[in-house]
Amino acid sequence: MTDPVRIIEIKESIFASNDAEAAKLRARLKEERTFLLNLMSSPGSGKTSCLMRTIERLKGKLRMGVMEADIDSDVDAYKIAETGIRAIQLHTGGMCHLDAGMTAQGLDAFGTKDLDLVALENVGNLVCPAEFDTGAVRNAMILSVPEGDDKPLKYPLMFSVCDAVLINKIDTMGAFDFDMERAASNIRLRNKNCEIFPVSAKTGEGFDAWTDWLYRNVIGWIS
Amino acid sequence: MHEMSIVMRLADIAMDYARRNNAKRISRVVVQVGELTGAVPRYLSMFYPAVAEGTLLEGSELVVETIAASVFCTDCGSTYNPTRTPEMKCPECGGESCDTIEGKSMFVKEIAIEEGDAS
Repeated sequence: MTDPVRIIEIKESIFASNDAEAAKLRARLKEERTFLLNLMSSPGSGKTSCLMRTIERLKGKLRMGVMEADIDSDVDAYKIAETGIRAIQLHTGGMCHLDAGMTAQGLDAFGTKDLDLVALENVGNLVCPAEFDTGAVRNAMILSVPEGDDKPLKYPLMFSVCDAVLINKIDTMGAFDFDMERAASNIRLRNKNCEIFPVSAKTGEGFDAWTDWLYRNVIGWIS
Repeated sequence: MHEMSIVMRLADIAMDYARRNNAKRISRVVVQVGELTGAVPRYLSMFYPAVAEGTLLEGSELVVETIAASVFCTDCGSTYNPTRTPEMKCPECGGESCDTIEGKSMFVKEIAIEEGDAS
């Protein structure tokens, strides 16, 4: 005779544990007065070079660190370290994204108590990183001109979770069919409130507006 | 989508509740997957036995219920399922701007357990 079966109602989100860890991490960062920025994009859009331009403008005003996340290699961490600021390389072991647990582990290894701003350069991927709250205070992503102005339509979740979108490689606009107004309007269909910053990491154009916004957000968090 | 990590998370939730309720084994896990999450139910089912093996979930059935997507058109106020309309546009006014009402969540809805002495 089989044992009686009982139904247990659960209704728990599959992301509940990550959401809880992310909230806990944000609370810890608030207490430590450290601002965590999660930076996402496709591979090759310019995350590292945009970070280097950002460091150039902000390192005199904020104590900064960078956590690089890649599946393999430490080329990015070395490039950042050449700017003189502290960098750590995380290897995700094949994972296509970071979650709050992994981010917290990275921050523990990094040591953030004396840092105002930590930038997390997430794995190059327009799909998976958007699904997981890393515990960051703000999410930013980079769309580069060669990728096309229709990407916000094709990858809606990524654009919808970001507080800021940098449109990088504007110095190449003459070589591509990229319409800036169409890109901005496509972004707005997915996200009414995010900031949009056209930039060129190669020439440095447009970075003042981005770093001013970032600086104001950091000061607001750590004060 | 990475259905394997989703299956691992749902398995953790199911086993946590089963242990709390003194389950001898779990016979069924029901999950609800929103249409806008991008998760593919077929792949969830495909990975489930491997995750279940050697646990309280071994031999159990995974039931995946799809929750239909629903959005609110901010141009004309209608609600519609954007996965069923050409280019995800509002079928009433052709608008492209909308707010999501339903379809972005994934939940473990319920489990069916057989009770007995915990072994």
